[in-house]
Amino acid sequence: MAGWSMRADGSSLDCAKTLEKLEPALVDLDPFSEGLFLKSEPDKIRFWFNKFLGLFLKEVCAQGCYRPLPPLLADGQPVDLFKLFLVVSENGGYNAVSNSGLWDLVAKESGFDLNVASSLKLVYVKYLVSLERWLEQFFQSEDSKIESNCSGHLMELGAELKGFLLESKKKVMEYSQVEESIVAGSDGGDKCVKGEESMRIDLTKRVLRYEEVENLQNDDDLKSTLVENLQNDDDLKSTVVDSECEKRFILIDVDDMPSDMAKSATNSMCNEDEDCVECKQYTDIVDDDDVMILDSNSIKENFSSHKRKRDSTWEMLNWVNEVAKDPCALVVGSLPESSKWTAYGSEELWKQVLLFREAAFGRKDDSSSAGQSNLQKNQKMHPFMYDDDNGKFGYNLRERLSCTRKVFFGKMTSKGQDRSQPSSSGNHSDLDGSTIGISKHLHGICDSATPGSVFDYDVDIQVPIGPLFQVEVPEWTGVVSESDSKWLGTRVWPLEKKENRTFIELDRIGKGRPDSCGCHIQNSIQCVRFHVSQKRMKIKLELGSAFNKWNFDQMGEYVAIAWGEEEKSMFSSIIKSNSPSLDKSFWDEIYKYFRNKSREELVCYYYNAFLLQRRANQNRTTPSNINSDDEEPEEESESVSKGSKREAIKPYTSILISPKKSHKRTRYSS
Amino acid sequence: MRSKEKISYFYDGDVGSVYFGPNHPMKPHRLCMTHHLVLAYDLHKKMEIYRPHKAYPVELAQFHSADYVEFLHRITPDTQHLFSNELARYNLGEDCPVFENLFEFCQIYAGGTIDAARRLNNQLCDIAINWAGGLHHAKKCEASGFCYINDLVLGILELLKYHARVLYIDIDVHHGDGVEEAFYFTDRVMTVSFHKFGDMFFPGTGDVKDIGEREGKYYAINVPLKDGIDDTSFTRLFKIIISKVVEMYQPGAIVLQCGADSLAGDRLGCFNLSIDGHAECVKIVKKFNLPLLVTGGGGYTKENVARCWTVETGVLLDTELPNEIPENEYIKYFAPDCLLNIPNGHIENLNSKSYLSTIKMQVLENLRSIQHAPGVQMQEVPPDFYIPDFDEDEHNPDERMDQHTQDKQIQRDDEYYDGDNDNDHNMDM
Repeated sequence: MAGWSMRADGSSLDCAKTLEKLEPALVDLDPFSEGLFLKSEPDKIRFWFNKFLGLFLKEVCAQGCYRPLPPLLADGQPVDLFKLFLVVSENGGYNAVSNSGLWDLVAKESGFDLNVASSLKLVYVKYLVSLERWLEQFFQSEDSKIESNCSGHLMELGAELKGFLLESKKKVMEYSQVEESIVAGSDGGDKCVKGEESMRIDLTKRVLRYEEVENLQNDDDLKSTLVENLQNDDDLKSTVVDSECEKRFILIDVDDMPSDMAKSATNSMCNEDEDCVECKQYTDIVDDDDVMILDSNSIKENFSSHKRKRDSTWEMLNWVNEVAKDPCALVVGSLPESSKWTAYGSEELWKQVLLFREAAFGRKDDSSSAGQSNLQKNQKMHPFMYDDDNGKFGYNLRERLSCTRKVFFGKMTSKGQDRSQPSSSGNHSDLDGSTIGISKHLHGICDSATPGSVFDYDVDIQVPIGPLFQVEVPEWTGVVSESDSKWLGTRVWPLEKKENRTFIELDRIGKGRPDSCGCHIQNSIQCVRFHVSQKRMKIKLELGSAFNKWNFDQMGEYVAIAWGEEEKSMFSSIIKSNSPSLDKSFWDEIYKYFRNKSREELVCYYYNAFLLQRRANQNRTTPSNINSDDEEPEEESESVSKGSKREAIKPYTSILISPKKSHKRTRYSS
Repeated sequence: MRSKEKISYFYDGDVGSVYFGPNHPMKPHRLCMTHHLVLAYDLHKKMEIYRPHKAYPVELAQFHSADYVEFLHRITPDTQHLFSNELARYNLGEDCPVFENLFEFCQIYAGGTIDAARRLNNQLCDIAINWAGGLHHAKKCEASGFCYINDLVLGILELLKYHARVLYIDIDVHHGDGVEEAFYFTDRVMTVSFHKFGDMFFPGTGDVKDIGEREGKYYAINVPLKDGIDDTSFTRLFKIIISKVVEMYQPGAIVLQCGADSLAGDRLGCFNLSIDGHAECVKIVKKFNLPLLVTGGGGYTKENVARCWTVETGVLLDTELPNEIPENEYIKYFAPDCLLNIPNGHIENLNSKSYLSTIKMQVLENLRSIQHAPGVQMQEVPPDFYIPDFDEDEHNPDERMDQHTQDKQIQRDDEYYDGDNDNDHNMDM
């Protein structure tokens, strides 16, 4: 609560001062009760307006720049901002007033001399323009008719505020109604779903309760009050739940976040990622909620012992929002190199986002974060193939992108950790598999590839530096080091002594396949087989001892000679029976069945006889359908379903483990 | 008449049966197919073929941490469940699974690259080829991206015993992060990597801004590219940059990593290079007539890998290969066309001219910085690079090197002997 109280104190102090100046008669300076002591409606609304404006300025506009309330003119006269605001809105808003040169009129209407018109204009620019703009946004959002619950709230709120502007000069009663709508706004904008009538009634109550609760400084009570308030309407209840979630997200402390908070943030972000449209709306709402931050305090009781630094949150989220709308927009600005990131303070918006990410996903707890990074490290290793939606090559860049981001994220985390805690490498070890839930969340986030999500930036990975990474290169002395000519390889070819060389007919080196041959039917199976074995005999003669040294005796379909018919058919049937849908590795079965053969032999047979044979069949039956990658699905058919050949890659930790199916892709390389 | 250059080619038949596991895109069987195709084209008649020694753990520990090497040696698929902590620490698991004969596989490919470097050092050949090598992602203390032992770093370390400066060139579609990282601080190795960058493509490093640090500043060059780059733009960029690099850096030897995953139609890659475009890079590098170590690397559509590396073996042997693949045991893998060239890629080329020229300008700009801060003893090094005629060149450096070596050794032996004498003397007293 500490943080909240401080803040509440601070903001009400502003108001209190304001009131002190504006209503010198009011001596009671208790910041939490003065609202109740204001008897007349205009005073009350003025109080709320000022309070609201104070917070608004603090939260939204005056990042790092303090604006004293109330503003004083050169001659020491205080300016009644409320009045000024009303006058200007009545005259059509800032732009209209400026364009038409109405500032003199405004000064007059606000009760000042004409000579302070320009000062008033300045005051208006400094204090009120942003509020006016902000209110305008509601009209716009109303116009654009976004369809969602959230924007529904906005629209109604906007309507209320519009009403406020239009009717502001009318009766005192209306003042109070309008004021309530403002307060409702400060309540988080989540309770405006009801019809206007009931809302007003409700709101009045709530304003009262709100004040009471504020006085009590009891957040738990406040929360229950709110919930109570809303219980008469099911819709509202659900709204509260939603907005609670959102608010938690807002409230996540950039610098110092408890882990359960991180989790809830992750949750809410996962929700967000389910639907990018929703995400955007959500960010809009977030803006709103955070402006009206008064109430959101109530939600954070679980985490109240932590200091808050929320001043900048609104801007940060707004920035994220801008990025979401248009990653190239100027307002986004450009990110400096990652190497310079540390040099920037948290006043930079992108830095805040980074910090947030760090806080949310680079958990405080060393062991769990290392576990997470390990897990992700492992993730990166899943082989992937391309989704074969678009034919032959089937590169689904989008998919790969999202997946690889995942990889990177993990990799980066682990690297960063390595660097920052070089001595803690032991941590890596005791962490396996502990944080599956978290990583799932992360994957949820990453996978959806929401445009403009905070994860959309390429992470600039730095070359890690230190004795653990670089090799010691001796200084060049100008003299060659000791020569180590002991191991230079064993010459296999040319043969040391000539063997049978007389038989060899001298072909031109690098000769290709002849266009024609003397066979009865050219390119028939028999013809090809004949030439292949002819070539083999020739090579065997020519190579002599090298033939066996290179394991040529274990190459090609000759490997199959050592296999009995029964074994061969068993091999094939095992592979066939372990069809992809069963999600098993045929190697398990094969090793089990062929106990008398070494794994090497089995792999050798697989590549040289089985696959070759299969490919040959394929060549004959569907020659048009063969591409260079096609042996893969055939070859790995144990995990391949017909429709999506390429994506079926499984994680594997050993040749014997039959892994679960996974559609994750990673990058590979070597 | 023998070919101008002397070529050593490394192959060990045992790699063909190494199996990473079902569905793993890395298939060492591609090496078997490559070798087979090389022989089918009779290319073996123009070169020497060696079986590499199996690198000893102590050799691997020249770069890698001893505990990591020890662990690789020890771990087997049957025991790995006992070591989940270590597996995680060394990044073994899904991407880099533990399989049968893992360590032997590492020993073979690393041994090949080390042997190749030693043969070059001893001037026993001019070009050494080890298609099994080129596993450029492996880090000092961990495996990464199918790479367990970084044979390239080991090979370069070997070359550094004889050469003041070694140039490393990487045309794998992935960034050569392991090599860059290992030599990030030194100006004795310049690493140049052409790779796909962005979209969180593995491994994520290799921005044009990463240029090395400390003494190594400006000695790491990255050429980040986008999807779908084609032959013309790639080879043009490659030629401009590499020529400038060689001119400025004057390396004593070049290591070329020819990862074939930059080819069109690769299972993991996203470039549109044809085999000819890929091989053109090899041709460009060969023309510098510097001691050249060529390794494989990535490449996950194995028939194309075999095609590509066979063609490049031909390029290094100055032999143009006919398009029709001769009969061989694996001809069916190359069916139905049985041709060397591969279908064109269909990935949209996202590299605009302006993007490429920006990258080029930036790289060249960084290169100019070398001029102002010359690296290791630029002037002292025998200018191998400038000697135009190979036949003349053949003997001179030999003699010079040998003389150096001998002188040094003689001196050292004397000292050692003296010292011994003293000791003996003392003991006698």
